[in-house]
Amino acid sequence: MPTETKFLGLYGAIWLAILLVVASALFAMRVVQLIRVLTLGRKENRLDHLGQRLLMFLREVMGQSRMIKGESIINWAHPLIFWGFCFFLIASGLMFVGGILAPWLWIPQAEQIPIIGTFVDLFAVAVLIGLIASSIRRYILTPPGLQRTLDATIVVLLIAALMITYLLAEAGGKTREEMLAAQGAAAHHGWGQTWLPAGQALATGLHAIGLGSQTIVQIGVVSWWIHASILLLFLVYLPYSKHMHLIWAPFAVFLAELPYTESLPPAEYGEQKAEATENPLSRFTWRMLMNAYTCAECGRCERVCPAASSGAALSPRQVVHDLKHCVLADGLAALKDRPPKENGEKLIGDIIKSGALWGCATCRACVDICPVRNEHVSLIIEMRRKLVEDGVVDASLMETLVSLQRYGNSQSKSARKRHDWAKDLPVPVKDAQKEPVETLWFLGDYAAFHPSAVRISRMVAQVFHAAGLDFGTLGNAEQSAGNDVRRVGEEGLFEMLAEKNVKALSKADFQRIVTTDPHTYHALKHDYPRFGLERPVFHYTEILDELLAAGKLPLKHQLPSRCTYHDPCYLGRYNGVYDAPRRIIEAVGMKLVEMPRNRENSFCCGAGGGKIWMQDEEGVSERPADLRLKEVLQLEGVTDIVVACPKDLVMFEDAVKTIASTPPLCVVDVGELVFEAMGLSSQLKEQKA
Amino acid sequence: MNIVVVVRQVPDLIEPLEIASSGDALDLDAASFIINESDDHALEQALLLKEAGGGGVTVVALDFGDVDNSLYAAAAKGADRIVKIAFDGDVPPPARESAALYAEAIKPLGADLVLVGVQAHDELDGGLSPFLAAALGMPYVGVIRGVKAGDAPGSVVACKEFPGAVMARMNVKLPALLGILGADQPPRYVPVSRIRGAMKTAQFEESAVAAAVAEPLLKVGGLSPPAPAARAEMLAGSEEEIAGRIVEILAEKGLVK
Ligand code: SF4
Ligand code: SF4
Repeated sequence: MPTETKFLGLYGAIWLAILLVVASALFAMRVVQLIRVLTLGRKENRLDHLGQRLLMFLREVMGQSRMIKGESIINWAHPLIFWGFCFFLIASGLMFVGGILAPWLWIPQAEQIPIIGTFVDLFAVAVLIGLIASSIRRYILTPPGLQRTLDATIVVLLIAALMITYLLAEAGGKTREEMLAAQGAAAHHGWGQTWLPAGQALATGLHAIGLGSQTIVQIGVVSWWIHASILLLFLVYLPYSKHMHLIWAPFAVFLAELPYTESLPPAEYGEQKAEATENPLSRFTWRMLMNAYTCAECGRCERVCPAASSGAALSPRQVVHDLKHCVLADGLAALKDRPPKENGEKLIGDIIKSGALWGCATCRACVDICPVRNEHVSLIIEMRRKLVEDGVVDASLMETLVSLQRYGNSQSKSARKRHDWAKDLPVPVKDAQKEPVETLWFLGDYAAFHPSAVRISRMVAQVFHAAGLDFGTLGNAEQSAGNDVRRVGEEGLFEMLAEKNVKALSKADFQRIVTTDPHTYHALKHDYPRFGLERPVFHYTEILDELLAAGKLPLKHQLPSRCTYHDPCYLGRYNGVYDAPRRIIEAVGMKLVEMPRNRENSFCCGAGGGKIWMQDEEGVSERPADLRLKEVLQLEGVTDIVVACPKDLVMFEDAVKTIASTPPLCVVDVGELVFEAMGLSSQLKEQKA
Repeated sequence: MNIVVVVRQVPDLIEPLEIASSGDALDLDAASFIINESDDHALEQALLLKEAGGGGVTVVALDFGDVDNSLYAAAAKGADRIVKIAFDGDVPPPARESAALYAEAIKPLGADLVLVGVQAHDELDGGLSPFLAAALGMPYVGVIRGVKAGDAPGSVVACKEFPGAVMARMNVKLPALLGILGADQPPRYVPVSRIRGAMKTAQFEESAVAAAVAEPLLKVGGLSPPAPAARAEMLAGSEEEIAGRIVEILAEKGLVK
């Protein structure tokens, strides 16, 4: 080993050990400092469901699943680099241990171990190819949102140098082995048995350009030391650089919010709140702060963001980027008891503009695409909470929040009119507070008040009745479930609504809850258990699917048209319900043509997170719902867009007028399809006649 | 600057209004009450003045309707003192008589500036603000949209709106009473967590007004719901019948021949 030679009277091994200790100490100091910054944040438990977390880690970190399913044509480059890196980690571990112990003890090196040596050798080449490919993408075919920073260039060059020096050291080792063999010495430590195609080819190449064996061996020794030095340099540089995600990302994935759970930490205010919130970081949870360390600035989140696509001031990548600056500047200052560094500018509202924060529809597309599982939505909502505390709320949102405070609904309607949707219905709707029902139907504001959605609610009631479902509602005692109230950041109002609803629910006798509104569904299912709701919650498409499977939905007609289906964010991405609505659409005989962005890649209509209550911001060129309908218009022969959410209905009915296609697209609800297919509309006409 | 704001309760028009069996008043049990909109603006204006130039804001209200909700919200927004005037009548007296009540509660407060909403949708005999100015012996300017601290100490600059959106800037020497139509900014949003906090901490001072409520000069003779306007005619029948009827109507109106 090169460390068996002495420099300045000491074995190279001793020098290597000293360098390793210094580099590790510098590395550890920085990492400890960064962890201490995280402890400035609020507490949050991310060590629940360990099994699920481990699986997520294996799939997404070790298996690189998110990278492979990503949008880029060269999305194999990152997994290649990553796996190569893992092999190199083993090789580097052996290199340091072997190097330090070499004068006294022989430890096999990766290139001396058959199979592993071959893997590392080939991976060095693969990583070089991966680097070339990703550099072409980064520097020549730069997609929007991908940043070209000096930091990235340095890291790419360092990794390339690592690979090249590794191969050169290998070539040197091979050549030395051949020289020894020529002198008749026995094959040394397994070199002979390991197939090292790249190292061998390089050695041959160096011979071919006229270098002597001795020179190649010396190049190998120098390369070995350069390789070791770069590794140590990397160790020190990494936690200071943009590429600190290499250290944090695996932990971030393990500690990520789990899919299909509540995922939004409650706000802290009033007495719970730490007295001095001088430090802007103390309002975030430690995991929110961690987003800052893990971002690789790949820009994927920005490219899928409906707000960014429609020209709004929001870029989820920029939000994380700005957070990073603030976390590093203010967090490190706070550790030294210095005032925040960001020149008195405030992160929330000044650095990250309120317009950007209000632009978010909380669709979660960014969270789902982010390779390191950054959590933009909870971060943005936490910042909105601050805006709400400060009263930085646009006029129409304020009107809605006041209406929710006063009347318990977002529609500025008297609470005494909530049950009016069911007036003169040809079927009975039980009052679940007066008589027991099996299924309690929680309407939600839009389904109870908005004229378009009320039309659907009335059909769904008739479908439920025809299917023999024993159902009832809370009547006027129901209030908004508050899903979007929570997501605009008005946590106190959300809690008030939840408490009132849970109280009303406690007076009713029922086994399960159904709702047509995915937003209501999400809140009841994930946010309400904290308030004491224990019954299972279903979306009406799940119930209809169940009735269909049980043969309780007698479908009389087949509906002939070609349609597409829009996955609502709060049903699909948030809760994983993708198949139930599709099965219903097929059962009624419609030909379902998928949009390019479907299921977990669905493109938000732009209503969520309270956006439906806000005015459009400046700069919005095309609203997400318009963009979505243009996607539908690309589909051959599709006449209908099927929805399963009252807000989608409202948004798309509006967008149909804006885009004014000929013939106009029909926006139909899943409930309406079943109503038609069961022949209930003609039955109704007959009854009227 | 010591600013006093009067906050009144008015029936919420979003809720269906019902007439009491007596026929001359609203059924108060069926009604719900909210802060009078222009009083809400007066409060906002007071808070803006305080934030810009210091001082204190005292809210004065008659103990009626759901006034506590409005007062907690006012405390949560930043009002420093809340004075509640004891009142056990069924309905607040008309403006002229209630002005006497408010004046008695306001006099001991030593106000530099009194802000009152210039209108309320349940007023019978004109606005409260001029009556109250008279009762307090203060100069009065009404229909104000925005107030700033004046250049000279002890004065404010008030923007008065005239018909046709003509605005006048008026220097007003204090003490004075201004009738507020709108504040410089719309009333701020106050989050529920703050209101809940105020419910735990805010203290209301009770003001037992000695003067008996004078017999109102004005009495309501009777109330009746608005008569429905002419209803639309709904056309029924087959498509041909409906189309035929539409043609007939257009012909009747002389739009087609
Ligand atoms: S937050 Fe995630 S998706 Fe967005 S730029 Fe950073 S790493 Fe990429
Ligand atoms: S949740 Fe949706 S709208 Fe909000 S930042 Fe992420 S992608 Fe954009």
